[in-house]
Parts: sequence; C-alpha cells; structure tokens
Amino acid sequence: MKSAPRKSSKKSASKKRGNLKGSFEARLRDAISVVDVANQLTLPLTNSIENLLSIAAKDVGSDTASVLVREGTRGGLKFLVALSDVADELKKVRIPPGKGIAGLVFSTGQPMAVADVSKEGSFWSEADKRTGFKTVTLLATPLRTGSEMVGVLEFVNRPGEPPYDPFSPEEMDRAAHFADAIASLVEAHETAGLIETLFARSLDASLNESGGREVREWVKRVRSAPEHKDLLQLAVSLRDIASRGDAERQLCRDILDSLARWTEKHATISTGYLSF
Amino acid sequence: MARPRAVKAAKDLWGTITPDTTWKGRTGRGVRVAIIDSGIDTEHPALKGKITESVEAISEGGRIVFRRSTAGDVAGHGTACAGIITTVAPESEIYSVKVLGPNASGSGEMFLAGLDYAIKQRIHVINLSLGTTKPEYFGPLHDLLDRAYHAGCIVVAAANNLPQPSYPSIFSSSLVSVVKREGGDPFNFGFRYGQVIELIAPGVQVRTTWPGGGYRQLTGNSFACPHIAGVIALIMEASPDLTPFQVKTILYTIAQRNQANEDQHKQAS
Repeated sequence: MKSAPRKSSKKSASKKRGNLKGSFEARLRDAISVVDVANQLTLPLTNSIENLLSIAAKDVGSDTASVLVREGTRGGLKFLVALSDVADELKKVRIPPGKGIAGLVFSTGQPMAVADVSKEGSFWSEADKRTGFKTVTLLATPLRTGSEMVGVLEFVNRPGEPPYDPFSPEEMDRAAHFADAIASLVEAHETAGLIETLFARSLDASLNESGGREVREWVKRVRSAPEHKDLLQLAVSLRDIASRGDAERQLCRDILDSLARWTEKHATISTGYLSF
Repeated sequence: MARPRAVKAAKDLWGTITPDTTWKGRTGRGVRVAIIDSGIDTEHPALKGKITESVEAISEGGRIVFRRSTAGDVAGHGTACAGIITTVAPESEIYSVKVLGPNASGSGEMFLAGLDYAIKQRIHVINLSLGTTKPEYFGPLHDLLDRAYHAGCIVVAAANNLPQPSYPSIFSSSLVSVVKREGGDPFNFGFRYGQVIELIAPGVQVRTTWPGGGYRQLTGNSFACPHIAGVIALIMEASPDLTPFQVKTILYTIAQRNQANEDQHKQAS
C-alpha cells in the first residue's frame, strides 16, 4: 500500500515552494516601495539645486549658471541643472575627463575664473558648439563633500551684452560658499540615483528572458496598485511637512514613533508592505 | 654682554636679505622647476625651447610609470603655470610632470607618483597648483614632503578657496603654501606668519600662456603659486644650497620689507 507520507511530502514541498515564492514576492514588493519612496523623497532635490543655483547666480552677478556632476569613474562630467535658455541641449552634453575649464577644475580641485575665453587660443567647448551659446567670461568652482569631488559649479557671462567684467576674487569666494551647500544636495541626488539604478540592474541581471517579462509586468502592477500610490502620497506629504522646518520635522518624528509603538501593540495593521 | 651682541648680529643677518642680494639680476638659470599638472603645450611660442623634459604618468601592469610625453596639455592649467614661472624666471629649466588629463585621469595615486618622481629627480622647486581633500592621502603626502625636504626640493603648493582643508597646502612646516591676491608685481608678495596658508602672491587676472598659442587672464590660487615658484627659482640661482627652511626665511624677510614699504607709501600719500 502506498504510504500517505509520499503524497503529503509532495504537498509540503509544493507548499514550501509557494511560501518561498510568497516570501520573495513580499521582499521584492518591499524593495520597490523603498526605492519609489526614496525617489519621492529626493525628487525635489533637483528643484532645490535649481533654486539655490538661481540665488547664487544673482549673488555672483552672472547671467547663466549650471551644476555639472561626475559621470562614470574617470572624471567625466555632465550637466545636472542649468539656468540657461539652452538648458535642455546642455543636458545632452558630455564632458570627457580633464577637458574644458569644468574638467580642469574637477581634476585639480582648484576654482578658476577666466576673463575672456573667446579671445585667443583654444577653448574646448562642446557645450557652446552644440547649443550655439557663446561663453565669454567664466567662473568655475569645484563641488566637494568631505573628501569627494562630486561636480563643478559654473557661472557664465553677465546680464546684458559683452564686453563683461571678469569675475572678481570676492565673487569667487562667494561662489565657493554656495558650492558648499549645493555639493551636499548633489551628493544626496547621486545616492538616490544609485539606489534606483542598482535596483533596476539587479532585477534585470537576475532574470532570464521569459522570467524577466513576467516579473517586469508584476513590478508594473505593484507600482500602479492603489496601496502603492497611497504609500507614495504619504511619502510626499511627509516630505512637504518635514521640509517646513525643524519643529515640523520633530513633530513628524514624534507622530511616527507613537504610531509605530501603537501598531506593535495592536498588530492589526499589516507591516509587510512598508519596511525601511 | 651677550644679549646686545646677539640682537646686533640678528639685525645684520636680516639686513643682508634684500632683493639685491637674493634675486635682482637673476633669471633662474640652472634651477630646475617641476610643474606637476596637466602637461604643458611645449609648442607655445612663449614656451618653446624652455621645457627641458616632459613626462606623463601612465598606469602599466598595476604600477604607475613615467614615459616621455608628446601629449601636450588639453586642459590648459599646466601651460598657464609654466607661462607664469617663465615670466618670473625666464631661464629656469622647466620639467613637466603630467598627472592630469584624459589619460592621466587625475587620480590621487598619480598625483603622489608625480611628486615622488620629481623628488627622485632632485628637482629644486616643485610647483603644485592642485591638491586633494581625501584624508587617505594625508599620510602619504606628509611622508613625501618630508622626503622632499631632506632631498633639498622646495615644494610650493596652492591653497584652495573651500572650507575643507586641502593637502598638501596645509602642511605649512614642510612646504611653501600660497593664496592669491590682486596686484601684478610677482615680487610684491606677502607672508602671513601664523596662518595655515602663509604666502600671498598675485593670482587675480593674471595674463598667461594658454594651449594653442594663446593667452588667458586667469584668477585663482593656482596662478599665485607659480609666481612664488618663480621667485624661489631666482633665489636658488643666487644660493643653490638653501634648504626649504632658509628659503622661507628669505621670503618672510622680503615680505616684511614689502609690507614696511607699503605702509610707508600709504603714510606718505
């Protein structure tokens, strides 16, 4: 007589696989939440950089300004934010390692001002060639957080028509103070981008062709699910309240701590969806 | 009565340090000056024939080696520094050590290797218009500067403008650190004893050579540093065996005179 345990071992193996699959799905769902919430919390970073750049440009007396960030590991740069009529075109420009004034400042770590780049000698400017913009006078200062060079802050030209007064040492010093603040924002932006890229690459790398399609569809469904959207809206509200000031941030912390303690006690709310 | 004699001797000693006894009439002949930077445009009309050697840092089999370079300077920084040094000390022998640019991507290791190379070559004056804020280079740079001192190499480094300390410019004891100021006279430099960055030299709207045969007006501590490197080259021509400590003493004394002259001029006007 065939023993019952055989059937039940099949059942338990299948149940185990189901549990494992469920557990993997839950973890993947959590990972998506973390990435998407992180993105919501850091999306306004670009806006903050733009706002600060605008204030810096006015203070330094320049017409256009931009933030270039590192690309790759060999010292290349790209435009993250540009206050310019040709901002969209600039964002497509890539600056090879060590090239141009920005590349130079990035590699030497020394701020530099050039009175008139157009006068004589070579001036590498893929940016000018691509956009039709004409750089006349320029101030570039490195963006540095602690020991890391994360980019370059550039101020170009003055309002009105040339000839322009060159950037003065005092303006250079003021630019350095703005660079300090902008560098922290750039670093946070970079970290958020890395999280998103790593997650996307891990997902792609770990799946085969057919499995990949299925899981991508599943990820799409997770992201469009109402509870996921609720979560992101909560993150946005939290961000908005917390950005109003220290008191608001402390209040958010206090409320969330109380809520966390309450949910632990009552354990009626599922915590599978949100875990940082 | 030792005290009055000692004071008198000190006055006489400082009294001998004047521009006439230190650099007047000198051109830097016989003094080797290394520019550790982005390379130099050796074809620039103002620099042609003045660059004794041009090498480039290359990563080979896990090591950094130096090979003769014909890559010139795509960035401009090194050429600008060379232009300033050759203006102040026209007959100094310029050695280009390229550690920045597309191939020498400006890694800290290349920077250290470049400094090490210049020290091993026993270059008299080493211009470093760059630096790093990475704490992991604090130790190695400190060691290199000690070696430079004992080898008789005088290292001149540019400060940076930013709040974070930059190495090696903050190692005041073993090198000459420089920050910019306005004014065009390379010999009218200042000395801020007690400050981390001690020398102040022209570095605002400095007109100097740029790759491609042209010139630029540049502002930055990078361009104050080579002014002092050039002045030191003149001093070394007059007295080749000076130690870095002695050179700094001369710079300090001359700067004091500059300040006294400036104060007198202000009072008179």
